[in-house]
Amino acid sequence: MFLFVFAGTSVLLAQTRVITGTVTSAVEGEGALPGVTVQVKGTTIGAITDLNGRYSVTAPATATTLIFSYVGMETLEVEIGSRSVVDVQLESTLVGLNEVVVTAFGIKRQARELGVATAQVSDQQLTQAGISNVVNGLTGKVSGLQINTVNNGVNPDTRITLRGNRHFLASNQALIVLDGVPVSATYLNSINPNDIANVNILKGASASALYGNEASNGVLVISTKRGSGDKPVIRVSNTTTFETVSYMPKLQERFGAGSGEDTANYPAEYTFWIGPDRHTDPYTSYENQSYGPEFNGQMVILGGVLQDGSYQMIPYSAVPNQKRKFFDTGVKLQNDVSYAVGDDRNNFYISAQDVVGTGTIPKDKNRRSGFRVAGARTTGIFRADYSMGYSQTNTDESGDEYFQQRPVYWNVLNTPAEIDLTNYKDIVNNKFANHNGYFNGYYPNPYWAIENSRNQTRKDDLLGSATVGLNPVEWLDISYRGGLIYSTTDRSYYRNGVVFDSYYADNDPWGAGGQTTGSPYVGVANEYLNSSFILTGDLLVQANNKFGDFTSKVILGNSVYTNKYRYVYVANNAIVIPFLYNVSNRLGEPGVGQTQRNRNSMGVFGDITIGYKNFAFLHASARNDWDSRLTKENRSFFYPGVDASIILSDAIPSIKSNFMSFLKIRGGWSQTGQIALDNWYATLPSFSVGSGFPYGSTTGFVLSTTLSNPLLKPEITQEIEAGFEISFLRDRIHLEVNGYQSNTKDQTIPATISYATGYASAYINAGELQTKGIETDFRLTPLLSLGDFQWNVTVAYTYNTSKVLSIMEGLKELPIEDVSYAVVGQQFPAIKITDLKKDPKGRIIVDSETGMPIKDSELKIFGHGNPNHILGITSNWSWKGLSLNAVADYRGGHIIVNQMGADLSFTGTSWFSAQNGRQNFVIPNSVVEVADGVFEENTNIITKTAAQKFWYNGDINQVLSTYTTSAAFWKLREVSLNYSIPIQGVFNNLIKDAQVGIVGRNLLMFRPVTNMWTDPEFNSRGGTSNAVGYTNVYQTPPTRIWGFSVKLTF
Amino acid sequence: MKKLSIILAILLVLGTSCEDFLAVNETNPNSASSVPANLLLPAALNATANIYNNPFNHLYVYVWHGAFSVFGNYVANTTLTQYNLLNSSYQGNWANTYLNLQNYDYIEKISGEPKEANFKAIAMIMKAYQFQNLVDNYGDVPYSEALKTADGILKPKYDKQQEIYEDLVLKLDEAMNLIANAPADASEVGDDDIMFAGDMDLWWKFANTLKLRLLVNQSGMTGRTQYITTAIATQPHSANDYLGAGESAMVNPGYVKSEDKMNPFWETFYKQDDSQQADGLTYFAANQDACDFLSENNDPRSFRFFAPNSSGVIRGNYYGVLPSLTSAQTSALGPGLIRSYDQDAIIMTDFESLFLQAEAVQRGLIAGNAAELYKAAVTQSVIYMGGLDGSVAGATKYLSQDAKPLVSFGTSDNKLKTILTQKWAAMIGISPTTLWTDYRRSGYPDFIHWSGDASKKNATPPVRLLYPQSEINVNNESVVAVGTINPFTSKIFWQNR
Repeated sequence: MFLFVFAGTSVLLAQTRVITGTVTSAVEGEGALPGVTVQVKGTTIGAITDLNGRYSVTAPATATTLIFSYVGMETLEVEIGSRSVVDVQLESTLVGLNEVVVTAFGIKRQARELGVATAQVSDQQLTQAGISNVVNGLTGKVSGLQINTVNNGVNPDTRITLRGNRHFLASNQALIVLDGVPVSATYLNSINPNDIANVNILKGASASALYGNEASNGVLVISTKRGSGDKPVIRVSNTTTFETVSYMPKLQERFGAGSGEDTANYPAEYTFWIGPDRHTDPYTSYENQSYGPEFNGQMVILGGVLQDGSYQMIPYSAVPNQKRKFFDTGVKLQNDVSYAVGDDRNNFYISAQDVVGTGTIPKDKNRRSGFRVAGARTTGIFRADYSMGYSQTNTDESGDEYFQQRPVYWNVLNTPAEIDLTNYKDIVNNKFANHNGYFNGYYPNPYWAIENSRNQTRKDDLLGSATVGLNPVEWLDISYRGGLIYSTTDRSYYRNGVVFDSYYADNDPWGAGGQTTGSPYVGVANEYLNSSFILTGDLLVQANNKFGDFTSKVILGNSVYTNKYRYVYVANNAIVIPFLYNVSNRLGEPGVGQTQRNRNSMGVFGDITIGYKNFAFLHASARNDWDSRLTKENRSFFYPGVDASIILSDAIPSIKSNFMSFLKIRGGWSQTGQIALDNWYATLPSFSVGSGFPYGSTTGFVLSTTLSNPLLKPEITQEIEAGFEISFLRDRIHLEVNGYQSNTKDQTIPATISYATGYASAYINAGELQTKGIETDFRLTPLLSLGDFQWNVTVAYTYNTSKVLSIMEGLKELPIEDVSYAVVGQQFPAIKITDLKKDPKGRIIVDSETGMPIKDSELKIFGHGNPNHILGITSNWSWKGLSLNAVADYRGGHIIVNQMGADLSFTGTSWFSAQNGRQNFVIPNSVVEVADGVFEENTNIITKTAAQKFWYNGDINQVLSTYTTSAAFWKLREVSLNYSIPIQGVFNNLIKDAQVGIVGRNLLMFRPVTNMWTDPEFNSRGGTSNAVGYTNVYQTPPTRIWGFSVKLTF
Repeated sequence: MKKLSIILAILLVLGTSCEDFLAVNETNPNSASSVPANLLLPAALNATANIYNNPFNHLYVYVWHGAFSVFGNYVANTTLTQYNLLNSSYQGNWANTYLNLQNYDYIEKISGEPKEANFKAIAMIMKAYQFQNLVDNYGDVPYSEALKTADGILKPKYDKQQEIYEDLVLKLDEAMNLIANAPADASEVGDDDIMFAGDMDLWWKFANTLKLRLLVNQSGMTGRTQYITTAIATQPHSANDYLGAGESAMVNPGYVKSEDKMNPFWETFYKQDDSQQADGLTYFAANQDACDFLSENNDPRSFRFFAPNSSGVIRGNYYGVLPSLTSAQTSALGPGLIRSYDQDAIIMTDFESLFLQAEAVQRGLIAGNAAELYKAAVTQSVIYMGGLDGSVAGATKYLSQDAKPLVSFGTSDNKLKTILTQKWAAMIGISPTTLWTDYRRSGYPDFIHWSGDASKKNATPPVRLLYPQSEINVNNESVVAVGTINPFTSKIFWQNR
């Protein structure tokens, strides 16, 4: 590839010699390159080329090699030999010029010929912050890509979308293609990020038309590492990170335990009025709600008197940092080793990784161990390639408690501020921590669930692919790839039973009327097993030709897919012998269930790219699929796509200058089908066994509550896109802009229909969702370059909006889940919630007697759950061996409903519920209706009550609009500081490279002050649901992660 | 040519195997695609029982009408204390009733052959039972266009409530005739009938009792007597033609002491290890109106309806009145209601039938002895509630209290009031829908304390439920066509007071 120009005669000098030469660009029309750094290898001697690209360097006689480096060009090392004139030509590294993009089926194509938007994330960009989950490394780095970490935990769930949402109910998550095999997004949790060579992101449906059915949401093509270089490379690394709770909801520290319920009959010994403040309720020693009096430091009884006569006295004052103290610092140790070797014909790669970590909730832990082997061999015209990875993930997380089956976090939040929870860790030996003696009459000790209720999951994933190829003549390549994905999950859930001592259970001696009276509580133990087996087979024939100025690339192929899924569960609903979690150790009958699903599909496709003079390209593809999930009449569907690109800067060389170095325009259209059925048998009527049946030898069946539909067909997504790429100043400034619009019609929806039909819902094809947006990627490489110091900046900005064009005739909205709806004319998903009654100016109407707000029973649309603006900024500073990387991102334009706010108003621990100090008050910005439709500002009507009855028992609690805020945020997503230790020459050159680094993730988050609840990126329904924009207490507080890493290369 | 035929043969093989390859979803390995009537009937009956025997489904009736209240340690449900019914309130009853109706309708449809007369009749009777409950709760509801997805109807119109009632009477006549004229070789229903074990005479009586209930419900309406008596005359109607003592319509699929397999009333309160269900026993408390009635009249059922409090007496809260008593001061539900995990689920008790007949006689709609029917009704209730006094002797002693006009039929100067007040007491925890309907159409009992919540939306409780939000969302035109619904003034057509 490299051209060396030999010229001149040899001159020998005794001590030093002068070497001169000219540096030119290999890019046509660019000519001489000024400012190129020329360095004598192994020394600090160097020079810079002049305006004509000429240089002169005085090198020691021992010098053997010159290094030429320049921004936007490949760094080149040239042996001097005996020459005194060394002229070189540098190859461009310009993105869009020579970059290779891996597209469908692992077909490598030049970026310049693509008519649609793609992006690449390299292994280095991906793993710079020491991530253990691939998804985290992609956040904020590419336009059009939105990644939400929807919950915290030791094995967090994520949601990945490209260009927003296209489907109401079907998954909107991008398809992942790992080494040519399509896998679901959840599989990303099982992959070792260090095995990844690069991630190619095909943003639109257009780029992915060839993947068929699953790819309408865009595709992440992930290639794993292969060996290269004939010397073996061994890499060993360790990353150790610490995770701490970064933000709690805004909590109050003024008021302690007490409830607003009437307390006239409460036992006097556990109830005190404190101070003269009669606006609050009395202190109640066993209360979970924090509507008691203001803290004053006096000693009060906590809980009740135990059977042995003992009791606790505590100062009535807030424990500093009380709820945050409950959480641990999670520690994650990630150890990696890999071995790679290879040349252009053979290569081999093997790696192993172990990630073991603990969470912020005490005793939560996760461990993922895995290995990968990959290799290839070429013999003559034959080629074989394989890649196989295995991982096992063991997750152990706390479950729910015995009384109301609430999560640990709920019970932490229901602990009044004067109680130091960490004193109640020892539930075995501390009589005030076990269920009998714990102070709280209504919510169990959170440590109980940690010790006694667990969700334990073991997941095994095996993914392999093997390709055999034949390259009989240069222009023809035939290959067949077989892929296999085998995943099994074994989840155990148990919760121990609890029996209160009869003193507490029978007499309720504290008069709490709470959990003790329900004793005994039965324990449960369930086991869930599932397995999924997927086989894929792809035949691919590629032919490349050149006719004069034209090139052609033709691909024909066939694809076969089969998926078998099995699920079985057994449930022990009543454990007899404690701590024995076996289904046979039970009372009553076990719960059992079984699901099996099979589906098969096949497709044939063709793809052609015609190039003209390497600057104009026309690409077309077509595919037909047959899918077993639909009836014979509807199972065949066709999707075409076409796109084109022109490198204007090459087509019209006159527009190219030293200022503008590259210009490309492109555009494309495609149509993709997707079968969006959770139920693979939705075309058949179905009868299930009735609730409770069988009773002995009597059984009974009921009709499905969903009306089946044999006429179902695929959802069709049509997407158009157009864009341009432009580079200035030799790619120091690079801008890529892309606009797109997709319309997905015939959405498959289990439409809610009138129950009076006898059904709850019916599967239908109806409705259309339009999504459009602009993606902008802006790179400054470098923004600043001063000697060894270099500063690169990349900005990725996406504007995305959507509109529900229709749902079905006569139906204006479709509930998705929780507060999310598809509403005609609105963005998707629309958030629809209850509100307080407001006047036309949006002021709260209060009752003229009570001063209390009034609930408006009509649900109102407050906004939507998906962000309109996504901005990611990546900045990289490097100086000699030091490099500092930072990624920050912003999202905005959407809202979030924080159910937690209502929960905290119930329990009274939030700042929100204490913002008026529990005094009666005039509701700010409120009005009174003085006559029909006439509103006057309320200046003097104070609320009848302000404490529990206002915040919880009044209408204000039931309206979610009170807890709905902007979901906008800025996050400092990643920061990493890496240092390459200059280790060459040490240890006999055994260690080739040594790097140490400090990494941090989610270090800072900025939100509007109104959002005092939690991370708006969270979502209560996990990664697969489209109902984004709703969080609750099942998401633990957001965390901050920091740590260090050591990487050694041998 | 040979090559061509080989290629053709290969294509043919590929073609057929493709067909097979793509046929994997044509049978469902998880659930059946068709099921015979005898396997549908048990689940349909069980589902009906589940709707009416879970006290949470009908909490509004119990707490508004003097039967139950809520323990003091629970935060009050303002929807109920303020009579603030919403479209989202009790949507489940509507949904589950129609989903259940679909199963009876399916049985009716696939039982077209004369041989299947018994299955068809049972399905028609249970449809009438369910539709009556819908009308009694909601007034106009989808009827003629309901359950018609086969005809492409996804938005059924609402029919006039009185017309539905009238058609249900005809449907019950038709079902009774089907039973009476069933061919000799008609399929026996047998044990698939978890209500009457295939006893078609009892089904006939149940149908006739239901019909009587439909008609007696209208007896307070002006100018309706002629219609009622004419309708009654289409079938035999002596005392023996209705469900009599010991002939309760009760469902029991063979309850097992296991989660989701116990009697639904029991399961609201207890789990299989006899521990309390969260939100079960600690939630429901006695209502002081019921306690007053039972105590003042020396009722042998007192400690069967309610458990004694810490002072050994039955005591409750008036609903929505604060301060409420502490848990220890309040009575929980008693052992006459929460009987055992395998207690029969109630569809219609014999004493409801007897009270109904007593009222019909008293109103002159059918012939008979109102006093005897009334006494039999109270006696059956006392026996049902059980305990030491749960006997004929206990009932006789109770009924002989001449000084108690709400007990003694003979000394009562308002016999309808006595019948309906006693019926109210007997229906506590037994049949919430009957309790509610009887109050609305008769105004008895007349001593109930309405909610004590100062913020309540109306002086007296709602007289109907609101159409569910789901109907407003997906069947809007039909709901709008009914007109504006006010939960306090949009009375059910038979509510003539």
